[in-house]
Amino acid sequence: MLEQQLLNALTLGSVYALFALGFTLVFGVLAVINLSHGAVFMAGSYAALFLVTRFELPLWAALPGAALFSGLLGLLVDVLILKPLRARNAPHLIPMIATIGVGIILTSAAQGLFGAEIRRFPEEILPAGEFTVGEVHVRALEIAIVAIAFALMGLLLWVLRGSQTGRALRAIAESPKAAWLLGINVERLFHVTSFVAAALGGVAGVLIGLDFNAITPQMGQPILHKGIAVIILGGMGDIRGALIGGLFLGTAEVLAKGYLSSQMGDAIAFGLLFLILLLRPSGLFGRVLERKA
Amino acid sequence: MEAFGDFWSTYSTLVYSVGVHMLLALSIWLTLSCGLLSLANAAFMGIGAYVGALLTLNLGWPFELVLLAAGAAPALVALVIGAPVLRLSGVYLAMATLAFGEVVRVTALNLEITGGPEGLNGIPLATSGWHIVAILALTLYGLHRLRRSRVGRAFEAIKEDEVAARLMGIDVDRHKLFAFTLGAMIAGVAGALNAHFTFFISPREYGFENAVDILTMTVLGGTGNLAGPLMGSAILTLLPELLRFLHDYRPMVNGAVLILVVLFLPKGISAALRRPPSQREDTPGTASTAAAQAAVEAAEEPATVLAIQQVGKHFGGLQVLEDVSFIVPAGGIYGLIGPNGAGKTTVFNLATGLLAPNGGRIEFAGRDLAGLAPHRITRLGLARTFQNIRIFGEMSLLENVMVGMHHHLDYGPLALLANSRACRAAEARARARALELLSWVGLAHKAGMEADELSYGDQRKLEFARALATEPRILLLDEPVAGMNPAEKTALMAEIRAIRDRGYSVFLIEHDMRFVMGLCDRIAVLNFGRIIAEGTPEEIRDNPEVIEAYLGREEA
Amino acid sequence: MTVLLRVHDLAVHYGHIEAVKGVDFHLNAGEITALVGANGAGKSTTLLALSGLLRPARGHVEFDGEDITHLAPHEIVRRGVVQVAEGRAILTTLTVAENLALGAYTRPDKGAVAQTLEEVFALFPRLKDRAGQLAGNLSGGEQQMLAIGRALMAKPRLLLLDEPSMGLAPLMVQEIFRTLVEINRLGLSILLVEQNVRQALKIASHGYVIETGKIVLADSGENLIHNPKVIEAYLGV
Repeated sequence: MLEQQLLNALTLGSVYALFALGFTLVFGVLAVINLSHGAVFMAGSYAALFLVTRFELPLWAALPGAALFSGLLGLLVDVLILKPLRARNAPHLIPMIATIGVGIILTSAAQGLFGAEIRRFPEEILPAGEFTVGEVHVRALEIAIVAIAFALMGLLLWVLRGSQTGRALRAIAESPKAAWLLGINVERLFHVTSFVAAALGGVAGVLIGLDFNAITPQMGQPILHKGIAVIILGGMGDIRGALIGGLFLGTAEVLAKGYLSSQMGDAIAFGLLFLILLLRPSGLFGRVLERKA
Repeated sequence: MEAFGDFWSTYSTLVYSVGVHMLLALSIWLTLSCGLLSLANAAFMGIGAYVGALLTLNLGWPFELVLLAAGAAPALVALVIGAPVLRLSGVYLAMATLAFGEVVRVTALNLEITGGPEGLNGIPLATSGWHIVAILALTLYGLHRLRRSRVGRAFEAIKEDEVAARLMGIDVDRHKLFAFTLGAMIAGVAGALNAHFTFFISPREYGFENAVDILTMTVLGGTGNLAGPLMGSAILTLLPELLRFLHDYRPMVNGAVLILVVLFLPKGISAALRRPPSQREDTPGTASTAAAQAAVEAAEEPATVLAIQQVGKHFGGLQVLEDVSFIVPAGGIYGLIGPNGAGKTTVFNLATGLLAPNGGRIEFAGRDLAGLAPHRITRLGLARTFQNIRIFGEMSLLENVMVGMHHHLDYGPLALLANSRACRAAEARARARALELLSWVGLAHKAGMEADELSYGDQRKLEFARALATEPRILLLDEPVAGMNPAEKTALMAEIRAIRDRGYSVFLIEHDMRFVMGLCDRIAVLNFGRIIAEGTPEEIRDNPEVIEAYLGREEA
Repeated sequence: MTVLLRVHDLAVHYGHIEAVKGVDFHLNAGEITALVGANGAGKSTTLLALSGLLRPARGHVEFDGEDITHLAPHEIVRRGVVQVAEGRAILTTLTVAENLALGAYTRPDKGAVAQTLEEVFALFPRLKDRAGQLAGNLSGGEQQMLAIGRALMAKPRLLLLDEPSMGLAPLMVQEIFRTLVEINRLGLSILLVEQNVRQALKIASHGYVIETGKIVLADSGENLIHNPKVIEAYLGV
């Protein structure tokens, strides 16, 4: 039934958008495709699970904990790997290759620590409420997921639009050199961006983990590919594009799975993505931002 | 002998895998060597594997024929998707090839003929050690020949500076497509070899992780030479066997290798083991200065080399050139001067085809240049240097100049592979000519050095020699004396006159009035996008409008 | 007269190329000092090193008695040394108002910033009219005004200007230079890098001629304008 599908699409799409937002933010500000973003997403989800099962924290406390943990991971990657590469002025593909390495390490660490099998949150801690609107079956969990995702995205958009830090970030996205000359500590904002983007990725990981109640070390890989699809759809580095692209992809996927085969949905999504790259590499809504020296 | 038998029965698969991985690493090395990061090679391998396995299973083709088809199929796909995909650069290309890889994987997952997620089972064991050795040897030999040829030099030039490569007369798009397609072919053959010793294939083996594994091997080994991918793939295939005790943590080693190499060995292991580049063997022989044919037959030269007619150019709302017209006569030295930001370099970019004018016409030796790609214009006989010097920094001086001869070296692929006498002779001639050009500018004794190691003045001279190597009729020099001291300027004047005396026309942009006045036969003055004066140096010198444009108004 | 900026034996390399080969010069508080020379002489390189965007190979830079040679760029801006880079470095995807707001990035006092904004608008009324527009849509002259106005938002003590006349029509160049003189009268010290020699030297108290990375002439602006060597170097007569 269409209404039910649309609700699922909204839930999935908002998490995709949240994930893609951090991804595109890093590309916009640091000019790096961070391919460890999927693994950080996975790490966030395990962090929440660990906090809930080992320390018996309630979910509302585990979520910020997971955000903090994945944020620190992102910060660590920036300080230990991306910063030296920036100092060396490495060609822009080099940091991308290094982040592939980070992804492999995190995934394999998770597998070593928690095993390859699917882990789940204890049923009793999940928000239990559910109700029916018309013929649509709504879980409280879904509402919470959508609310959290949109709240965080709204907050980020608001900061970028209206605050001095947001302006500074947009200045860096256009020209780090100009930003330095304005007295902006560009390096520090690189760190902040890495932290925030990874924290958002971690939260997205927790939300997906809760939605499907299934966590595996490999869960970062498909979402990474979808994140790539989203930011290409929306235009790389384009924040609003990521939001719309995320919702779009979530909807497309849910509808394709509902009305076509579950696998062909992916093929259509990626085929579409491939076409967009060929025809409109700047994304459906975006324009190519040529970065100045 | 028995011990060997035991070893072989245990480890033959591993040894085969090393060979297959070497092929895959070489396939991605090809695209990397012209600066393209393609993540499609795992998918190409998959296409080869499926095509090969299906031909064996369903049609019972002989294995050698299967291998051929397994190479041809992904090459065909690469050829089709290559033209549009390779227009993308940098991360966009990486993303597009990644998306392509997903399309291939998901398609294999869904088609009935490929066996869906179960894959194909019971593929006969047709691959023998000899197949792998022979194909690896053939690939290595071919790539080795390629590397030492005009094609290999073109790849390296494209990797270092695509624009400069175009202006050396290299058809950049075709070279990229060639590397991409050949890489796909090698990956496809590797896929079929692999499928025919593992019994079974499934879509899981050709996903993103596998693309990354292949990339890691090449990055680890380094792309500077052929030994790199071989070493990288050998190490990364054997390492997991030695690290079995790490269990689930094993892949971490791959990740760590990737990061450590990128951080600490940016050119890979093979480069770290090599001697420093300044001692490379490219030391020159003696130039067989058999008075190379004069570059230009002056008699055939029309009186006008370059005619700029009512040319306009705007960038968005900014009008950079407006109704610009002037004529560069043959056989002389012509100067275009004007303050910074007047639009001088834009004129060069229009003439060399890097930009298209918004109006007007540019003629070279009577031929309209509209719509011609930069490399075509270079081949017609128009060469240029850049204000901010764009040499190929990691190539030797000799290689830099030989890149300029790209389109004059016309040996075909078969002659190259066979290392035929004609091919060797052409390379030897090019080498001799390159050394001759280097000695014209006084750099022959440094021919084997890496261009990056040169001083500023020497880099400019190298750029001259490289431009002359395209055998131009006219040489466009963009601020040739920028950053030079008076003594160097005087020396350069003499050099430019000598170039003119050899029959070339020279057209230069310059900011330094003294230099221009002393050197040029005629001068055009550009200010704020318009020609405000044209004439002999004397006429220009006395023109009050020029003085004002140059020094600023007398009374402010 | 107090020396505000003192540059001693400053050298900057790009790889194997020595772009600036040890220059010495100084700037007195309250004055305009011009650094003139041909393209590629090392003018912009010197300015970028002063702002901390390029690391000098040797030498040091002293600003108001403090060694700022190895400070990070944003620290140098905080000390009051603000640069208007070559090509204006306008943020084209931000509005005029946002560009100006970012100019005051280092200043926490909102009231004072608002007052500076009024001063900048008084100096460049056109910026006020266009405050809501994207900076990329401004004309070349307006972009230069925005670049200077944005630098003034930081309340600088020393303004570094790299070729403000580049690509501008003669009338606009006049206007920009008049503004510079006005800003200077209000007490701001200016280091001006220019290829428009006569204009630059006319408004400068002191001038230095830089050639292939070295200072070859130093004198008052007035004397340099009439120095035959300068005329020769620029007109080739």
